Amino acid sequence: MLGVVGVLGAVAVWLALLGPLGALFAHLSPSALRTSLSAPHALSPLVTSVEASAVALGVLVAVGTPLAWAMTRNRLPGPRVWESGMLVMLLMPPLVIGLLLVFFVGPLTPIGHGLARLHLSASNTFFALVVAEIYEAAPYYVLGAAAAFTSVEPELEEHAWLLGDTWWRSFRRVTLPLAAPGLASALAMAWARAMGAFGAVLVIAYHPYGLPMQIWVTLQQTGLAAALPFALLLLVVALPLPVLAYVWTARARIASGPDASVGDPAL
Amino acid sequence: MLLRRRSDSSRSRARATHDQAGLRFDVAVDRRTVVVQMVLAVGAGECVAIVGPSGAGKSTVLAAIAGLVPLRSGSVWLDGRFLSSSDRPAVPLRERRVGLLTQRAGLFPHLDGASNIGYGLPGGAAHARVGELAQALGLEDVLGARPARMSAGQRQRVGLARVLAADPRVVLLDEPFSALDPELRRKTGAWVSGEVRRRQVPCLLVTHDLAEAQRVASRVAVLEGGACLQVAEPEVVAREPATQAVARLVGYDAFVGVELVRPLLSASGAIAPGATTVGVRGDLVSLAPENVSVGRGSQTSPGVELVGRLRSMVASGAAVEASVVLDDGSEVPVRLAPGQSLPRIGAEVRLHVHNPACFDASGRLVQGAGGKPSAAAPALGRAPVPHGATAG
Repeated sequence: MLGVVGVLGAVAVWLALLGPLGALFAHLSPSALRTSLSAPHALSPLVTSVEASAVALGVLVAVGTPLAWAMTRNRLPGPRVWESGMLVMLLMPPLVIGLLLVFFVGPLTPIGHGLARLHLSASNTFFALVVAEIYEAAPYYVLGAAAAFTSVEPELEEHAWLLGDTWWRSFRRVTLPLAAPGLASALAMAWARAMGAFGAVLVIAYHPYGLPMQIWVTLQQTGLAAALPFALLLLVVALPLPVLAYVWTARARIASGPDASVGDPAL
Repeated sequence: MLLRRRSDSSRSRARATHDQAGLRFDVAVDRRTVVVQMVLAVGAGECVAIVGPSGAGKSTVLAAIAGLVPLRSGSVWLDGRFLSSSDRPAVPLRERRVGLLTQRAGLFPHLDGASNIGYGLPGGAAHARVGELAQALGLEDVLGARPARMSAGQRQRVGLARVLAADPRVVLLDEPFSALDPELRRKTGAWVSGEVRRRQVPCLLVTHDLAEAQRVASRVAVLEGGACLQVAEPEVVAREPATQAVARLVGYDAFVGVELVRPLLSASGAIAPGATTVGVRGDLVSLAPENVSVGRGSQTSPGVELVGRLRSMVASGAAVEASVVLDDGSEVPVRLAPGQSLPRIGAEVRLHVHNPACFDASGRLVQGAGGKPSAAAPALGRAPVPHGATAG
């Protein structure tokens, strides 16, 4: 349809964009991989990253899912405001997020004082890492989940209620199954963001090292080649979930076929 | 003293609301630029059809009763139980026990036919009940299929079964048979009216087919532009449409100014006094026999004679549908019986309109079809809304 030139152009752009990934494998030597990863505590940044991201995602699912649902069901006053806020978060450079977080939840702020009473500190702690990851990943999850809920017709929820369902029951039996593929991709996107969070982390959670920070520190102290194994590790951990979500979404789309809830009344 | 009075009034309110079975509503709902208003009482076991053109607000009325759109004013009561009003918190959807079948059926796309039908049933009871309904509606084949694999007609019937399976206290059906073929339409319609009677629940049926309304419902409410124009038995609406607007909606094809026609004597002596327009329905018109003289004095049958030219003829089953254009340009359809000698296209023909419905200058009925004088323009039935409804 595009012609040979068009296809070749597309291939060129695609290769150029994915080229860096190829470079990773071209320059990664097995011996470097072995030495880097077998060093004492070499895997602790991985564990830190996975744990922090898991907690961050847990929080996001718990607070972001209801918010996303309410945003798409006109349950909130000023519907545009909510979406705009999420877009602002999405567009904020991570480094700026980190800076602003210092002035928002840092130890010297009112919130910081409150956290101190709970023996928490949002500065160079595991807690700070989680906070930074939440802020970096939140817009991806909330906007993705909102898109997933938008794809579920509100009429279906109303039918479930009229058939006697409570809100929670209809959410479990109708909304969630229908929004699941979309929610999975939102979750996957947020996971990749949380795992890779760096800008905000650099400012408020230099310690304990997560994987991105480990890459940065290794790069600074030892050099490019030594950082590559950690980059691979990050990719391996951060990517499978998005890829799985993508596959699932595609399969769900095929399985449900054309818009099934609508029977065109023959008028 | 104060206490005493309060308990008295609450008791009388309870009497006024709890004794009456059926659905009663008096609602006004904003719908884009118009306000849809309707007042009606539907008895237990009764089915009332709402007919009207697209955009009349028929579906809006159902949505208002179901509780899906806010009321601008008024209230809804079911079996003496308050459901909603504009000034009082409404009963939540899940507690209303309103069965609503929307035009698009709204089946759950991720569930198969059986799970859709049984959705509103507790697990244990579901299986047998679903089987029963599927059998009654001829849905055995789609119990295991998802909605995407069903035909539009199957989806409508699955939706119908889902509504009735949940044992609703009122049944609201929005064009429930639109995707069914004529035979299935009749069968399903008969089944629905039987179920409504057997369960003794009120039923509102939106349709734009008067014949269907007549088959399924005992009364018809005519809605146009958000206003309810007439509520009456289907035969009455057909014979005595309250206004010209209603007549147009229930199958009158043409309206002819009386000054253009030569009135024949009607059974009661003449065209109803004050009539300026007659409504013409294809099935009330025939070609005047050649030997009947035009004008006053013909006593063959009361009615009105029209003169025009035959414009077209189209076969319709065994009969022929002809169209005749009158002097003033209005077009009158005529059904020619099989075997009748057919005139040529363009020929001048005389039509005999049997006992037409007659309207005055403001469009109100002055004489129904069949020569019955109208009962002083049928009042729009105002449902007795219980005491507490507006007091809050």
